[in-house]
Amino acid sequence: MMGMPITIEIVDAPTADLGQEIFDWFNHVDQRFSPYIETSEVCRLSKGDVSDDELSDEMREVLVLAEATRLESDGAFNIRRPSGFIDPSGIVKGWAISKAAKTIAACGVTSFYVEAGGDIQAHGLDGAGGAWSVGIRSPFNDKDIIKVVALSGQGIATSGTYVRGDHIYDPRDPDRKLDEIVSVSVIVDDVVDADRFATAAFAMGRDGIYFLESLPGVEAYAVDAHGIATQTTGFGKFVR
Amino acid sequence: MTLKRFRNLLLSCTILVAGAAGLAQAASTVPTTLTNAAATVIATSQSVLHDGDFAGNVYDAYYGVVQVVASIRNGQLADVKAVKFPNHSGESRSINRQALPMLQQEVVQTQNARVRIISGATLTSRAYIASLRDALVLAGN
Repeated sequence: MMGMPITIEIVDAPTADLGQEIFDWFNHVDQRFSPYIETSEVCRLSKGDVSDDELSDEMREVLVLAEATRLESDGAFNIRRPSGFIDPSGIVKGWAISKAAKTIAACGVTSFYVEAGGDIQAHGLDGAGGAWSVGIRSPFNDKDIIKVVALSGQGIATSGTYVRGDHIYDPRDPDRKLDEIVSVSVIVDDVVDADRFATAAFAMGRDGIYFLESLPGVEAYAVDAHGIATQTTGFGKFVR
Repeated sequence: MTLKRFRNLLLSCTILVAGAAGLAQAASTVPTTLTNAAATVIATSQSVLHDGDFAGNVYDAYYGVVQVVASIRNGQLADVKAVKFPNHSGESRSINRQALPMLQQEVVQTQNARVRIISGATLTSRAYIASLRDALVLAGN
């Protein structure tokens, strides 16, 4: 999806069909929401080729969630670019993973994870009987892990400066260089919330971690350009 | 690098002071020693640091009390931990949002543990860009 690798690991009762269904779902999401596919619904919407009445239910759902996030973040999160283009990348990945995880859970599977482009929803236990161990990648060296968290029933999403070029910007000040905070990882029950709040917090720069601290049920780990990390009060309970 | 770390320690002290600033109108015992603490930290940073954990005094902030422990390893500041946190009732949470609560800070360190999954700002990594650049150089020759 969006040119990103997708990983699904199912511990109990895996079926090949379920795996295929999930990969098909991500492909479907890409076809609808990719800003890089000219025929996608999101591109047609940006160009004004789709009226409100013609919007798919999925598009409506994402737009409503995006608008809610814009309001919650006081405008820091905004899928509408100054150019008028609509880019829902900061929310669609988490939304698609969340839906995929619900589909898998609905099949009676209790232990699994779904990962797409570094965002994860993890449930139950890994094959060895422990919570899923998730490493947070260093923003300074992509071969390094700077934190290990144990997840079971949570999602995690990371926003950072060298994710996919410069896809994160501050809509309130599009020219501002977002170089103070280089990485924000957010843990919350549903990965769609982790994704949208990580995107919003990253756009807020140094204020982002305080925004995350104020949200109930949300924990986070933010790293600045000097390699200093700041964490929310409850983040430690996930640290291994 | 060392210098940058000290600058960030200063930053965390600034946050503490910012948290206390809101106290001025609410309490009679304003912890003015906070600024002294920051000054001490700066002074210490200019002399030799000894290894170990060093606890600061307990300070009353109106959202709770705060105390930090600085860990020095190999003569450098390796970690700053807040050992006492404000309560997190819904009310103090909304107050904190205005007052910048003291949050735990640390210097990021590479972990050696094996992990199952990796969360990160991914894919268009340095390797990808470097490879693309090589390819473009080759293409330009």
